[in-house]
Amino acid sequence: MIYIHSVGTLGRVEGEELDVKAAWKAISAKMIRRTDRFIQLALLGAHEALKAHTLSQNTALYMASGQGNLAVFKRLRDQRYIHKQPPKPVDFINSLSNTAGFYVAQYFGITGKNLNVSRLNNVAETLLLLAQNDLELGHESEILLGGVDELQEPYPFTRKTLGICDDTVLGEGSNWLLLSANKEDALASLVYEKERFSLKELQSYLLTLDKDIMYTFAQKSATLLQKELHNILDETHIFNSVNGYFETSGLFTLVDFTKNGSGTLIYILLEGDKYRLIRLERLN
Amino acid sequence: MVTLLGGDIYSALGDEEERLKHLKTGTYKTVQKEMVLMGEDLSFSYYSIDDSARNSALSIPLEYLENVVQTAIDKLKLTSADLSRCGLFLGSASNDLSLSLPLGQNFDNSQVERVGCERIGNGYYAQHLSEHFGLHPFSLTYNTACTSSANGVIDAASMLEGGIIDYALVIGFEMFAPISFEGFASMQLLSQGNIAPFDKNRQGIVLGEAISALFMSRDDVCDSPWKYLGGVGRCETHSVTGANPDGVGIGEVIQAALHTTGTQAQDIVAVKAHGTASALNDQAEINGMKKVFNTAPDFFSLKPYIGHTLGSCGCSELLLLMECVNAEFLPATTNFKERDEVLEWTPLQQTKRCTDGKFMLNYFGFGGNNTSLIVEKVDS
Repeated sequence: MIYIHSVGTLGRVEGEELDVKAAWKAISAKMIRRTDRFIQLALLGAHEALKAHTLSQNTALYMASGQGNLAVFKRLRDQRYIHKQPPKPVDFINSLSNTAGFYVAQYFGITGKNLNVSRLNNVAETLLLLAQNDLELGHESEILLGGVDELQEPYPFTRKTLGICDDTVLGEGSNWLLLSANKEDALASLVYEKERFSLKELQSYLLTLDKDIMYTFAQKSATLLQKELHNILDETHIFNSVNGYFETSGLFTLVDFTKNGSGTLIYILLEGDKYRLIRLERLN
Repeated sequence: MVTLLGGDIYSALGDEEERLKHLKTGTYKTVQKEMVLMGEDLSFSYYSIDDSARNSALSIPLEYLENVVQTAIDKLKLTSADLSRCGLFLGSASNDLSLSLPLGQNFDNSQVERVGCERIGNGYYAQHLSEHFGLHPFSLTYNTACTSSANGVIDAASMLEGGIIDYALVIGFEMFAPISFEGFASMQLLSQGNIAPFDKNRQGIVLGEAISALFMSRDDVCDSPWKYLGGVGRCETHSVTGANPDGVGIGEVIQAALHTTGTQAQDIVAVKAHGTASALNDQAEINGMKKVFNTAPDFFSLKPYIGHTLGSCGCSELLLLMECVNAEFLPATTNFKERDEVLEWTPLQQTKRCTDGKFMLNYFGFGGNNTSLIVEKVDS
């Protein structure tokens, strides 16, 4: 079991405006230079999570993203293929998505392990499993874990590359959790269950749980999961927490419940043909 | 105890027999790649995977990946049951080619964005390999620049230690990417000559491509004379493009790796240096080692043999080290000719007999990433 000590969120859905540059400039004008919107999004979300916390220098930073800093890659593409220009050094550097992690580490003064990972599905959830393992083994004492995805235009093209339906509302988000193995002053506990369930096993397991528990689903498989489990779960106990589709939206749900929920949340995700559970419990 | 089982590498050095021949004799193969930069025609050496049949940009990376993993599976005689308990950790500095290639080719071909409805992008290759080989569903794709697959090794070991998986497949993946190549050139980091790490007259980096597959396990599942003792990753926030030349950040990560593994500096038989031949990296690396080692350990760079393979070097250079020691030698840093008075320390200039012992492997990258691994080959 690991513990959540602080959370922060920032995001929008398509059609809404979010002036990330202005917001970040108000916090740290000196760090505007050389950063782009993806990096500023990461910085702002982490800042939201850490307003009341000072990190130890050894804090590790684990960051997940579906596509990374895709906007800068598109700029590089345009420079090369349309303008026939070499990459601008600052764009080339920022095209490495771990540059965002560098600036977050620099701003918060942390020098621990600094990861940037991606995955086709469930990237943030998979990173949570790694973080839980590293904290439980004592490899890390504190982890700032975030998911950052920037909304990309044109939206129809983005939906295609994400493999989602044409009517899905897109979103973007920068969602962060400060994690440790220490319960003291924690907001919530979190367990990524190591067991992988078949549908039948999952249905049986869910029937054994307390009736007051809330449930939610990983966004991409939510429709399927709701259909498969509608006979088992009370609809009034579904925790709906959606802020547009983006690949690390699972963290938004966990952040949202930590801030606004009560009791216990079971987060259900599909991994291959097996079901996995994350149990989040609010602490008083 | 986490074990390193071995694997295979596709690089400019050819198959294992050719690799060892090159590494013993200090030879290598490069090709020339041309580019126009700010109106100037330039030509740079490049370490290319030797394959003349590369005509399908999208399918070839998958074929390479499948082949290198299959070769490693065959070599290690892993069963489908073993693979079902094997997580995947893929490290690459490139924005995933499965996305970047179609985006770029749209402009080359028709100015029309042509992407199918299939989900593509970062993580595509890991997902494909997981499904193709029936691996455990745990997979992550690492993008931490030149430490990508080295960080994959650290996390693979952690997940093995935690018992979540029983085997781990670490992939180092870097293939020629025009934007990356031109990006390094625009930063004036590429050598127009050869790559000569730690040499007084070094001119900079020569890039290369490599795809490597390393299998790991635990000694209670699958033992091996090669043990992973531990590793540490740190973020140094001096500069986004490199370590502090004073060596403080590098010294810290090396010291942390020794501390984590309970290893004394004098117990390290040799150091596989990052050794990019960029002026500042070499300086930072030597200064970092000086903060930990009282006298120069035996150290060498493998980049003159396969080039700087960016996100792949963590896994590829670990496998090359294992192959050399299995063949009972440490390689010389070929191309090294003249001592740099500023650096003082010089790398191995002759191959040296070596059969076992503890080895340190260092990797440093953009984004402040510093990673140090310690492995051991136990005398069988």
